[in-house]
Formats: sequence, structure tokens, C-alpha cells
Amino acid sequence: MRSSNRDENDSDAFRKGLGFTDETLPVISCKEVVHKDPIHSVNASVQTKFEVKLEEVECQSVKRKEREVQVDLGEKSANDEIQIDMGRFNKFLGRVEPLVQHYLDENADRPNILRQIKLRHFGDDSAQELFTLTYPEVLVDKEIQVTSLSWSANGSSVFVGYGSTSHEGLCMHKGAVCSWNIERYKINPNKPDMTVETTNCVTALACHPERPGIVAAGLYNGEILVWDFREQDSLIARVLERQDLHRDSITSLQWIREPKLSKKKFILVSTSQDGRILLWNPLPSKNNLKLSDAYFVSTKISSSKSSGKPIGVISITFNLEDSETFVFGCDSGQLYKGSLNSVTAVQSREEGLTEMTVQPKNPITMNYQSHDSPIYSVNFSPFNRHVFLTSGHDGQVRIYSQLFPNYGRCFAAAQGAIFSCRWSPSRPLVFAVGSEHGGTLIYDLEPQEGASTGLLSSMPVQELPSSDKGSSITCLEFNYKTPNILACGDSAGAVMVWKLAERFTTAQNDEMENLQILAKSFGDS
Amino acid sequence: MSQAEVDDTLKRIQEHKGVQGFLIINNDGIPIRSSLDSTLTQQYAALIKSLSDKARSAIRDIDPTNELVFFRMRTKKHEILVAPDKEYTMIVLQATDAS
Repeated sequence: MRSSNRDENDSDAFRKGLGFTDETLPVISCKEVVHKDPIHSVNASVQTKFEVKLEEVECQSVKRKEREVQVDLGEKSANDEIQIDMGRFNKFLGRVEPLVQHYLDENADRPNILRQIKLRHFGDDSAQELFTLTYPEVLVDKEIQVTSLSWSANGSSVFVGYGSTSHEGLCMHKGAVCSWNIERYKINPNKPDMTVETTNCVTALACHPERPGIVAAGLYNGEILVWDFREQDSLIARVLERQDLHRDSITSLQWIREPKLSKKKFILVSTSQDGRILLWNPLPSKNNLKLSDAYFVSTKISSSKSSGKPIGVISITFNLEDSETFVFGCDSGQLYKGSLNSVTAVQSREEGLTEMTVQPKNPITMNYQSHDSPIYSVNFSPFNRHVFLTSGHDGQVRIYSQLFPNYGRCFAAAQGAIFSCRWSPSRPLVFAVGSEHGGTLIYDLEPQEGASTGLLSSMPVQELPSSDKGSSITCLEFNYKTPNILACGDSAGAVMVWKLAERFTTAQNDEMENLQILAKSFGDS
Repeated sequence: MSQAEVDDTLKRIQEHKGVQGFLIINNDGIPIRSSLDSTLTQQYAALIKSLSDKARSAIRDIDPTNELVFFRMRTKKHEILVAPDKEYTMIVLQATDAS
């Protein structure tokens, strides 16, 4: 097959006829490359002097000292070698033993001998009046009085809110917020260091707990303003979203640590006559107080017409250890425990609730025995997580334990309404109340010397008068930085700053325990 | 007058409620009997001795005919009872929270 194929190919080429052409190929010349350089080669040897150096240094210093130490397990601590006259020694023991035995017995009879030692306070028991602060310009209007007080974070300035409590419908008063620095060398009690006028009555005031210049104020018309007095443009935040605003006067303002997130940031809590408890994010950008949470307190849902109507919240206090728990007193005299964790939806036909940016919740987790009249003030003890004080228009001051629905102790000062009650920041068993007719009353639950123990005295241990005879104490605040300083604002428009006696500021050893015992005893009664 | 009697007395004190220890020093401040360990004994001996001398001289300065017989110090942790006598001083420690 193959050979035949080739034959065919050959025959084809043959048939076509091949043309041949001449081609001249370029000449390539190759040059001879010869290295003409002779190759030099030098033999050299380099040798550095090589010497091995060996050095031996011993750097191990071992010094041993031998010392014999013998600890005798026997009674070697006393010196036996000293010769003692046993007779005289025995006589000494005979003299001394009864004495020692007597006191040992005496001590042993008492479970804790320190318990029995009460600090005795010497010197004057009376309070010293430091200043009476007034702001005559705002007091031109006779209805204006001090409505709120707050100490700045560093405890050096007192902020005072002015307003009126008598309103028929609209508020036509001019309010003001003033501050005095009581640590200044030249303080003028009649001229505040700083003044801001407001369009309405100021009803609540709260200084930021950590940043000294920042103050929040609540107004009669429900507005909340936050100032930073260190800034040029001092108004730093207000509520811009109208639908979130309170519909009635602000009754209290408080800064609390944000419980849910970082716990470092502070949020502002406001309560109002419109039954709302609102939580605000106070220092956002764009000067806007942003509503972060809302709670609404209303009457029980029933078939009657008044069901679901708001109950005015007048006072609120937060538990210091568990910042999500709070107790609030209402216009109707009811007293409730609430929780920020509440998720119960509000059932109310109240207008405006649905338009709010945050849907309000029902905060109530527990009911307490109610007062007969508005509860103006509630205050958790700074020393015990369960104990709180309440005071109301009925003139009663009550101590509750948050665990039990009924109150544990009740004090009736018979001095008219009690507008404010505050625990002392330094003594667990002391609190002060501001009364309508009797000035500021200070109570001490510590059993007094000589008095029968176990029976708490129901009389105030000290009464501090208000600036003017007919005026009532509307608010009072201890200075947490210097606990012996108490500021009391009254209806005559003056703020009296008192320096309390040592007795009211130095706590006894067992005072905390006594408060605990007191709180526990509430459950028994 | 015997060693046994002395031991009995000391034992009575030692076994008293709340007693943490006792110590007897002589006028030179040298511990003669002690139920504490040696460092504590040395410390108490030296410190209480100087304190008791100071107290004694204070009482004498006020009234030369008077004499310090006994003193006690209440501390947070214990009470120190001191009975200074002519020749010897007895120191007893008693716990305050003995219950």
C-alpha cells in the first residue's frame, strides 16, 4: 500500500512539472575570536593570625554560712531563765486574777462588746445657718416660690428652680433657674451666680450626677430643658418631637444610670401629672432629647367611664442597687413599685398615646398600702436596698420595705402636708422632711440614750425653721458631697443652707445593721 | 505557793470565754509567762510595757498618792486587759466578737 501511494505522489509531481529558481544566500562570515589576554594567575595565601584565646573566669560565688535555727515548739516565748520568786509571783496572781476575771466575765456577757459603745457627740447639737439665698427679681411676683432644688455633681453649687404652685389653667408666671456656689469666698445671697429665665414655672430640677455644669429642668407646660452652664450657648437639649412631650406639668426629674446598655451613661427620667413616666436620652446630637422609653400609669380597666384615665405621677425614686426597680407615688395617693423591664402593653383610650415614638408600657409590678392624699415625695434609702420613705399631703411620713405591701412605720408630724422627705446620705437612720407649717424636721430612728430601747421615737429630734414664719418647706436636698449641708427651699422663695451638727452626720457602728433589722421587722407587723 | 497553783490560775484565765492569749511580764519588760507565739509576745511585751509605764506616770502626776491598778483597751478585733502590779504586769487579750 505504501509503495503504491508514493508512486502516485511521484507521478502527480511529475505530471505538473517543477520550476527551479536560483537563489543567492547571504554570506555569513565568522570571525575568529581569540582571547589574547594571557591568563594571570597569582597564588597568594592570606592567613590572619589565628590564636585561640581561652579565658576562664569563675563567676559563681557561693558563700555558705551555717547557722542553726531551732524553733522550740514549747513555750519558749517567755523567758524561763529569769528567776522568779514563786511566792511573790503567786501573790501577784492572787491580786490580779480577780480583776481580770471580773472584766473577762463582763465582756463575755456581751456578745459584742463594741455594740454597747455608742459614739457620744459632744458640742452643739444645733444646726448652723450658713446662708439664706434669695433672688428678689423673680420674687416680685408674690406667687413665686422655690419649687425645686438640686446640688451640682461636685457639691459646690446649689441650683434652685422658681415657680408657683397655684395655677388655674394656664401658667402665666415667669419661672427661673438660679445657682449659687456656696464655696465661693464672696457669695452674695441675694444675687445668684447664674440665672436663666423660663417661659413657665419651673417644677422640677435635676443636676447631672457626674458633670457639674449640666442641669435639667421640667416646666409646668411639660417641657424639659437641659442646660450646660459651662457652654456659651447653654441650652443643649430640649424635646423637639411634640408628640412625645408631656401633656401636663412635670412633677419630678431624675438622672439614673442607663440600666440596659453600658450602665455608664446617664438617662433622664421625667414624671408628670399626665400619668407618663418617660425616659430620655439626654445628650444626643442636634439638641434633641430623644425618647428612649415610655411608661403610662392609668386607672384599672373596667366598664366604668373613668377606666383607663391617667393617674398623675408625682414622685419617683429609683433603687440604688437594682436600677431597674423604682417606686412612685401618685396624685391619688396610690403607691406602686414599677420596673423598667415591664413589657405589659397599656390598655387605655387616652389620646396621644399611639402617636408617641415609643409605645408606652404599664410599669406597675406591685401595689403598696396607699396614702389618703397625693404622695409628694418618695425616697429610697442610700444604705438599704429595701427601705424607702414616703410623705404626702396627709401629713404622714411612712417607712416601707419594698418587700412588704404595708408600711412599717408612720410618723405624723401634725404640721400640715409634708412636701419632701430625704434620707441622710451619711447616717442610715436619719432623715429630714419638709413640712407645710413646721419647717424642716429631722428624725433620728436611733434609740436615744436613756429611752427605752426598741421603741422608736416618733418625735423629730430637730426642727429647722423656714425663712419666713408662714412659709412652708417645699423641697429639701442633702449635699451628697458634704453630707452635713442641707438646703431647704420654702414657699417664701428663699433657700436656707444649713450646716448640721456632727450628731446628724457621723454614723454609729451598728447603724446599718439596725436599719436592716428595722426593715426585716416590717414583715412581722 | 507552788508551780501547780500558778499553772492552775493561768489555765483558768486562758480557758475563759473569748480569751485569745495572756502574757505576764516583769518590771524590765521581759516576758515570764506567755501563751502567745514568740514574736507577738515580744511585741506586746515591749509595746504594752511602755504604754503602761506612761499610764502609770500620768496617774501619779495627777495625784502622787494614787496608783494605776488596771486598764483595758477596746479595739475592733479584741480587748486588751492590762493589770500592772508592783513587780509584774498581766496582759490578757479577749476577742470582742466572741459569741
